[in-house]
This record gives sequence, structure tokens and C-alpha cells, in this order.
Amino acid sequence: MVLELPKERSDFVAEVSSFIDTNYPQSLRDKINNRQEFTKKDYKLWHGILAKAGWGACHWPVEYGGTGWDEWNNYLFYSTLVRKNAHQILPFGINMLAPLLMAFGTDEQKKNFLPKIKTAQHIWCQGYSEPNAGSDLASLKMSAVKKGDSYILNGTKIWTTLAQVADWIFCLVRTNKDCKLQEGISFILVDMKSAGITVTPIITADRSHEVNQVIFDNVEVPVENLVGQENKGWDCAKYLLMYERSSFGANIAMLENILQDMKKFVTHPKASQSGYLQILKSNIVQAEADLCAAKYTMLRAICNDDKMYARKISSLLKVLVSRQIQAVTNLHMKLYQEMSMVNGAALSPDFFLGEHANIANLLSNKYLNHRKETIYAGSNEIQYNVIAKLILGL
Amino acid sequence: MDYTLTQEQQMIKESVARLLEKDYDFLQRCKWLSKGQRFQDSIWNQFAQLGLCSLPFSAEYGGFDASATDMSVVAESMGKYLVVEPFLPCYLASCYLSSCASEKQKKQYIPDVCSGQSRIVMALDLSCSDVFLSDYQSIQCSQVSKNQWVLSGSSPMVCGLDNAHHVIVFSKNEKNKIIPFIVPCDAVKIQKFSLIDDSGASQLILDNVKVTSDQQLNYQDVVLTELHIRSIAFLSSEAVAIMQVLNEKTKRYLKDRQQFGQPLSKFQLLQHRLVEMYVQEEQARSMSLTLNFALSSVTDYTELKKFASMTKLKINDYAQYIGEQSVQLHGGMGVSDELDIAHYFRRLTCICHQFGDHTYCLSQLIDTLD
Repeated sequence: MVLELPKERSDFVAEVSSFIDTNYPQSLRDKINNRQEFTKKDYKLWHGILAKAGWGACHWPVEYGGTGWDEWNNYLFYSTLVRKNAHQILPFGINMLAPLLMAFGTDEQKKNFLPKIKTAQHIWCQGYSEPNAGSDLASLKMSAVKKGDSYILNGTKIWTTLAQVADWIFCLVRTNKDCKLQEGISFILVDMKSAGITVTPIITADRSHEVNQVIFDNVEVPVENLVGQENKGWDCAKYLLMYERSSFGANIAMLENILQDMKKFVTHPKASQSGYLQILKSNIVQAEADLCAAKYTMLRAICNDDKMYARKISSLLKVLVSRQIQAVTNLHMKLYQEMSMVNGAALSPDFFLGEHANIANLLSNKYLNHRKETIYAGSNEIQYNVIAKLILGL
Repeated sequence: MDYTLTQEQQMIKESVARLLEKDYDFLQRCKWLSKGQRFQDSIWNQFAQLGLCSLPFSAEYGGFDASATDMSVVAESMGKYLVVEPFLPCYLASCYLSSCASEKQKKQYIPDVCSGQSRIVMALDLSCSDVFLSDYQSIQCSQVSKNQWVLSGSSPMVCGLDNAHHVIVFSKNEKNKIIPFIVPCDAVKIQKFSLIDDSGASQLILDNVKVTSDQQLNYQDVVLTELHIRSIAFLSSEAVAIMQVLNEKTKRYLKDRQQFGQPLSKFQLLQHRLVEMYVQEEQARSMSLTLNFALSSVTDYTELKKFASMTKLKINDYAQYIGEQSVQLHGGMGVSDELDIAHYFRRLTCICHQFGDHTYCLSQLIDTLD
């Protein structure tokens, strides 16, 4: 970073770094190195360690057991996790649902759910998209019909990240069909162990299992699991949007890691001095400049206390960061040339292709995986519409 | 890191904007330029009265030791009102004098600069391309006595020279050592021309010009490096201001212009184009603000130089995109000289080529890898 951090900030980064060095379990490091997917137990182990240190839900207000850190420290914390190759905090409970419960939840809901979110005793997933409601989220159809003290849920959620490990899911459901689409939606919390829920894996282009289809067949949910008022779920969804973007800093740090790796590759003493290499270098420094532009746009937002500004700018940041992730992972593929074709998913962990190739096949998976960036949480085309309306007033 | 302006910066910003709003509107500017007037004494005098000419100097010379961010608020107005007077060239020469002139020389030159009576510019290589520098800018100095030298050679393009009183030249002696001199303009030959943005520039020719040790300035590499970064910071702020104007004007035009029975702004393709222009403007602003801020707080010139190259690289890209798209979305009106759109586009095009074009910035960045 061209700007030096003030001493108290750099001390903070040093503290987080040394905490990770001391406390990040070797078993999890091995898993990352061996390209193994994290299990539910792994997630809970790491989140438990952070929670014990008081960093489980760092950006929460102190009254809810958070640290009360400002946006700068949150950014530095998340980006340090990435730089030290530690696993990111799972966002759905801690970053997304929790602020919503703090704003709209009953005291009972806060008492029941927040502590378990913090320690990852409950892992959460998000039930928004449906087979016929993606970009057009308000047209969702999953029904919730009140019957006595329960709602009966029927329908299908799709692209549900981590549903295979989640204990709970928060859903947008339709509680009224005879009104404007947005006015008949409610926000409800569902135990994944409820009878009638079926989780079917969806394998993505990189052959990984991140997302799922979740089918609800007469699932009974107690009425006290409704968050906010019935038919006011769209307000919750909009409020949550403000918090859906907390991963920008972590993503930028991830790209900085990759760029560092690429620079090492092209400046290796054994690297040839061919024109080909010069072109790669040129691509790398351009990617770095683009990343800087995205990063300092994000830092400008962090320095701005205005919450409305944060909400407005979040679409812009989503566009910038998602583009950069795709540009950098794309460039990484080019760097490793034919090695980038190796199917990492089908390779046994101990198969050694050579020092660089082992990284390469991981990265080809990353390239394929990160096509999702410009699609999820509102595709970039949708973000363009939002910016046109919200910022440009068109 | 704090991106908000101080009270003083806010004041400078408002007073410059007020002056230019009143006396430098687009039609007035067109009138002057149509008569070939690229310099208005009345405007420059008002700059001086506002203190703009003294900003870079230290307090003992009546200045403010202006930081890059202080200057950036002036740069924004220069961009917004398309000022053709040589503010940046004079600002840079002032910085050079501050760092590299003797006390005696400072007393001799600075007061007249501050009062607006005198302008000093630098014979610098604007493209910053090393090829350009070595091939075309060659001013030789040869010592004829203990404190007398003779300068010969030429510099192909010196911005603002046509209305300057002195020029700082960077000559080389027979050992290739760089020795700068401050030379009165009536001692040199000047061939005037204008740039596409209507500002004035000249070819400088020195034909056995005698100079004395009184005119010799110190040479410090690091000062030129800092000036180069300051130029980029200034131009970036100027460019961002122009991008903002173009984006606003283009948006307004698309809202007003009716085709196919509806405003053009109703077409999604055009909306998305405006969004892309906005996205680039915001990124340009982030880079520009950060560079200006870093210049006042960072002392590591290696990092700073690299960041300046990144900033200029991206500013060039964004400026070109926004300039070209503004013209495109204005259709026929965009290419008409009558509208200010073409004028802003031409200024942005010049900025893309000043103090490092795309290729130069890229090569600088590639060099940092090795």
C-alpha cells in the first residue's frame, strides 16, 4: 500500500497476524495445502477459536458481543486472514443475518440466535433465489401458509451456498399472492433438520460442491421464527443488502496474494527474457493498477461514515471487485499456459506436477469457480440497473 | 487517511471557482481564442491577487508551502473551466525555484512571480519518454570562463513559453552532467504554436546564449522526480474534474434528447454506457485523491513513483474512454466545435499525452518488477 498505516493500525495487523500464526490449526492448513474441502467440523473449529478470542463476530457492536471496531479495523482483520491463508469467516450468519436480527428481530430471537451465530454453533445459509426467481427476486414463489402456530412452507430454493453444512437457513417466502410482488414477501428462519427439507448438491463448472437445491415439502416452521412483520420481508431483504458486501476487502487481499505470486513467477531468475514474458509483465502491472483503483475506491467508502453512501456505493464496489477477481484469475491461467488445463479436481493431492503446476491447477479451478462473481448477489447487469437508478437517477 | 478537504482548501476551491465562473465562461473563452488570444493578463492578475501564483512558495516569500492536495483543488477548476493560461508550467517552475534556487535568486525572481508580473516556465520533456528526451532535447553548455557559459541547442515543446519571461533549461556539459540555468526569454528564439486544447506552447532554440553563474540553479534528481509526481497529481485532479463535467453533461443530453418517441436515457444500452462512464470516473477520483494525499504524507519515493505511474496509466485510460464516449453519445453534436464537449475531449486527449502516456507508464511499471 502506498499509504503507510498509522502505528496503532499496523500494530493491530501485527497482533492479528501473530494470533493466526499461533492459533490457526495445522489440520486446517494441511487441508488447504492438500486442496481438500472444509467439513462442517472444520468450519466450527476455526470459528470457535476466533469466538474464544473475542473475534468471532468482530464487527458487531459491543453490546452484542462484538469488538466495536471501526470499518478500517474490520477491513484490516479480514484482509489479514486472507494474507495469512486462514479461512474466511462464513458470512451468512455473522455478516448478514446478525445485523438484520439486531435491527428487526424480537428480544427472544436475538437471545436465541445471536450467541450461536457468533460461535458458529449454528452455521447459516441464505434461501433467496428460486428456479424462476433469480435477478427478478421479487417474483419468488415459495409459499408459507399459516396454520395454527406454524407456517407450512412449500417450494424450492436454489444456488444455496453451503446448504450441505448449514444448521439453519433464512428464507424469503411468499405469504400473500394477491398484491404487489414486493408486498407479499416475508422473512423466516428455518431449522435445516426440519422434516420435509431435501438438499440436493449442484456441481458447478469447476466441479466443486458449493451450491445446492433445497426443496421444502410441507415444512412446518413455528410462527415465532418470522423476522419482522408478515409481508414486510422485502424491507429485510433490502436492509440486508447493505451488509452483503463485507467480503470486498478480503477479495482484494486475495487478488493481491495472486498478483504477488504472478510477479514472483515472471521475475524468477530462470524466467526467459522473451517478448512473451514482457507481454505477461505488462498484463500483470495493468491488473495491479486496476486492482488499486478498485481498492482505493473501497477505502474511500470505508473512510466515509455516511451509511447511505455505503449503500449507494456497494453496487459500484460489487462491479469493480467482481471484475477484478475474474480479470486476475483469467490472467493467472495465461501465466501457467498449458498447465492451466490440468483438471485439479480429479488430481490426487499427492500428484506432483512440479512446483508451479500444483498452484496452477488450483488456479484453473479458481478461474472456473469465479465466473460466479458477476452473477451472484445481483448480476453485474442488475448492478448496472441499480447504479443507473439509484446513483445516476435515470 | 482522510479524503475530506480542510477549511483552507475549501476556501481556495470556492474562490477560484467563483472567479472563473464570472470571468471565464465558455463563450468568453471562445471569443478570446477566436482572436488567437491564448493569454489574458486580466485573468492572470486575478490569479495573482487570489494568491494562486504564490501557493508553492514558502511563507517567507509570501507563499503557503502548498501541498499537492492544496493544488488539486485549483487543478479541478482549471479543468472545469478549460483554462488555457499556463498555470501548471508556472507552478512546476515555482516548485523548482523553491527547491533549487539560491537565496539571492529567490529574492530576485519570486516576488515578481507572486505578483503576477513575471512568469517562469521549465523546458521539460512533457511526454517523459526517454527516447524523446535523448533524441530531441539536447541543450549543450560549454564553460567559457570561471562564471560564464554558452548554451546551444533546442527543446521541441515548452508549454507556456509563449507568454513567459524566463525559462529554466536543463543543459548538459561535455561530461553529460546536467546544469540548469534560468534564462530570460528575450535571449532565446521562440517558435510559437498551439496545442489541440488551445493552450500555447513553443519550440525553444538557444543559439550561443551567454549565461552567468548568477543564473545557474542547483540540480537535484529527486526534485525532478517529485515535480514529475506533482504534475501527474495535478493533471489527475484536472482530468477528474473534466470527467465529472462530461458525465453530467452527457447524462443531461440523453435525458433531454428525444428519439424514437422517447428520451435517449430510456434505452438500457445507453444507461449502461453512462454507468460505465460513472464507474470509471469514480475510480479515477479514487486514484487521484490517493496520489495527492500520498504526496503530502509519504516519503518513500520508490513506492510513490510507482503509484504515480499506476495513477497516470489509469487516468489516461479513463480519460480516453469518457472523452470518446461523451462525444459518441452526443452524436453529431459531439463532434461539433461549437459545443464544449469537443473542447473537453481535446483537453483530456492532451492530458493523456502529458507527463507519461499509456506506453510510458506501462514501461515504468514493468521496470519496477525487475
